[in-house]
Amino acid sequence: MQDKQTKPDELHLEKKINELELKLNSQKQLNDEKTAIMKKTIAETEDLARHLQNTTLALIQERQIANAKAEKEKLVNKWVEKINASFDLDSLLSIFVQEIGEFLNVDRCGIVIFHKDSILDAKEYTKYKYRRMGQEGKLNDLESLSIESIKESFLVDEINTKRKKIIENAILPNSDDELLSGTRSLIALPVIVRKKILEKSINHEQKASHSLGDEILGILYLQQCDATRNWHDKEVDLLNSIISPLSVSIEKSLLYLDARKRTKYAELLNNLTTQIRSSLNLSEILARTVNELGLALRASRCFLYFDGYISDEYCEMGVPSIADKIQHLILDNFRSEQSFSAIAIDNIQNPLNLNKLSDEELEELELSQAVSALACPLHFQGILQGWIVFHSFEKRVWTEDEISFVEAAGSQVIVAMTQSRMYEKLNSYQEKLSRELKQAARVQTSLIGGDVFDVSLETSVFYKAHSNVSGDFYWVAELAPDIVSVLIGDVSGKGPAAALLTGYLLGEFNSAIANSALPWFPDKMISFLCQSILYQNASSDFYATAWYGVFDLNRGKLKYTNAGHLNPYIIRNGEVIQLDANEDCGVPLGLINPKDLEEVYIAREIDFSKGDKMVLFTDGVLDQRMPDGNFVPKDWVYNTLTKIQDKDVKEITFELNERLNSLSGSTPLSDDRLMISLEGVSFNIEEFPCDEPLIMNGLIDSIIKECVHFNMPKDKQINLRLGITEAVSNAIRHGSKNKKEEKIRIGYKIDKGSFKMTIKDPGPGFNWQVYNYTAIDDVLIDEEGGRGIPLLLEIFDKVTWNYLGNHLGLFFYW
Amino acid sequence: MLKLEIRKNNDQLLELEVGGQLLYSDAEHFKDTVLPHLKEQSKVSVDCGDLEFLDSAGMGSFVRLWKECKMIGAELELYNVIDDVQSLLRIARLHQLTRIISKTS
Repeated sequence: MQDKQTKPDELHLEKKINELELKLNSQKQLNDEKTAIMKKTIAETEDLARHLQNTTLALIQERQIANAKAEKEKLVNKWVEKINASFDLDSLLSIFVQEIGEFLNVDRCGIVIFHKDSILDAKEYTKYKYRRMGQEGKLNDLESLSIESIKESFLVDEINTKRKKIIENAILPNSDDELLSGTRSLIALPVIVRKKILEKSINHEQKASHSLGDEILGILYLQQCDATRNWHDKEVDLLNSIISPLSVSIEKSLLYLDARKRTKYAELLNNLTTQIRSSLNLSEILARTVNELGLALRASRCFLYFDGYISDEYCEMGVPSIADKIQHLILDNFRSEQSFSAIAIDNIQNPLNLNKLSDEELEELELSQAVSALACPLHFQGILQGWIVFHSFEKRVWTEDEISFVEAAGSQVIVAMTQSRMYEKLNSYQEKLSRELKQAARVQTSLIGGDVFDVSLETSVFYKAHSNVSGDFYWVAELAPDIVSVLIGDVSGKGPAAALLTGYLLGEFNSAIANSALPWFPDKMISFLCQSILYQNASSDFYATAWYGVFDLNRGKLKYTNAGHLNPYIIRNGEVIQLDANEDCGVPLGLINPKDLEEVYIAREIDFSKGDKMVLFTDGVLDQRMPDGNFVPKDWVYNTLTKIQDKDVKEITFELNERLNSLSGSTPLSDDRLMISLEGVSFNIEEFPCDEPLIMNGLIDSIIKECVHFNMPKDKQINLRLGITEAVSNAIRHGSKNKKEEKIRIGYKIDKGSFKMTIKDPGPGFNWQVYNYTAIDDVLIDEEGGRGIPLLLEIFDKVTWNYLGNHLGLFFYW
Repeated sequence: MLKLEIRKNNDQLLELEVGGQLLYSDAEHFKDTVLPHLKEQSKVSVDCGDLEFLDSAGMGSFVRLWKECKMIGAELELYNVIDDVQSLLRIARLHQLTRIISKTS
């Protein structure tokens, strides 16, 4: 049993030991695993630490680089900011070279900017010790160096050729290279801009090409003199960094310069245009052109060349004129090659150009002393008119801008010249026309009017033509003493054509007055005039309004006919009445043939006694516009006449015109303006028995005395006495046949400077037309009789008879 | 009113004096009075000192006298002619007719 008991214990122990062993082994394995993990972790930690260390180092390095870069960028930015502060190339370059030169502590820092074959600008910062000859401050242009010496420098040649930077730590001084004078160490960089280039040659071989590429604007150089210097990479790097923004700034500045230049040329062109357009005088235009262009292009000489001669010339101070010397102008040879294109010769001495010249041209060139020349054609509507030529006494590259400017100016000049020529032609034509119109106006003035002041009607006329000549017309004629006819009218339209028709109408009217009984019958006279216009209208379509009246002041009657004219006004006994206000005005002349229609024109008769006034006018009065654009009111004439009816008849038309002007303000005349006012003259009428010549003698004495009172000169008195004596004597001898019971009716009116008289005898009259043209000089000296009427015609200013010849009218002035 | 007087009448000279006004109404009277005296005289002299005025008929009378003088070969002379009458003769162009001597004041 005990064994039996031991055995389980042992088994239990053994089992436990096994379990412990297993557990131990498991623990051991775990520990091994843990150890392995820990070892791995330690290794990884060590790796991480190393990595962290490396990263930190890298970061520090990068930070250092970044700091350096930032510092460089800050510096570059500072410089960029400074150079960008100005568009002015000169100050931009000055700031730059000084900043770089001082920062890098070099002996010289310079920049040269090229433009085509010349140097546009150059600036150099120099330490005191290394200043060039003649320089004073730290900053200077490279004025002491010639363009050639700069262009021939190794530096310029190398950069232009290789387009790469030059870094030389130690070079031997070269006394032949002025730009590098005393230089032992050198850095030079090309200032490059990548751009689209337009190249246009202006020489005789004209061509234009476009290319895309790098353009060297200039060169930046740094020099260390006396001692050598190892240029640090950082310094080179810094320069590399700044060169690009510098080139942009320079390009920007050049663009600004170009824009300013273009603005300058635009202003010059504007100024020139203003100058030449401000005159229409050709010689002034040409003189201004050469002066303005010569000054604008700073040329030694500027001239205009037309048809083989120099018309106008500008010469700079001290430059001789060539106006009489040059004929060939070296234009002909070139012109054949390029019509209407500018000819620019940079250097006349260039053999290529000389080959093209004739001996005469070479001779003239020597005379002109020109070294370079520019000739721009002046053409208009495809025809070459002439040339604008510039001479310069130095070699000169004529820039594209200059040529464009001159071409633009040339266009303006040729337009101004053409305008001036047209103006001169127009002016000459206008002068001629104006002269002719004035003559026509004088002729017309003499044509219209008639015996305005010589009739038994007090007459006042206001007449103003819209243009020089007028379509309005009037005529006042004394048909007989105390019988006056008045014609007023208006031809359609105005100006010369209308004036011609008025002349034609008045010619017809006057021929009728002189040769027929028509004037005594208004309806017949108007019909006659109507037919005249119809005949004339075979070749035109004019028409005319007309009013014709015959005033018989003896009978106190007015007989008239209207052909479409405005009805006149009568002023009588404090009233203003429009004649036939409610009647049809009639048909204007020239519209119908009076023969085709019965009684187209009717004569009406009304009372018109001495003291009655009449106002006639044309439609220019009512067609006058007022400042508001409206016409004068229709009742304006009536209302105005009502206000001024008491005025003297001679003042009425003047007053009407004044009031019309006041009403219309500054509005121009709309049409011809014609106004006539009339009033029958009051005569002193007396009747004398035919057998009382002595009483008549007393009458003559009384008349002469009264005339003397009105200042009649003494030498006229005896003439008037003879005239009146002859007239009265004729009336007694021929009119009454000396019958004592018959009476002679004598009327007269004496005014300041005038004497009017009518003598009516009771006889049958006589054929006065037979005697009317006999002058006293036509009477033979040995004739005993026949002097009566010739003496009347000689003494009096006007002698009229009535139709029968028994009523005489006499007018005498002093 | 016409004043007319024959002052002297001999074989050599007929001398007249005319005054006042020589008008149409007196023209016939002038001719009827003067012309019969014309014979063989070599000169007819008319004193116009008092002649103030004449009309065309009066002028015709002078023309008639001039014509008659011409026929007998006598010279006609108007003298003492005042300015007004000279003006009248001039306006009728009769100043060319014969010798006219102005009146001296």
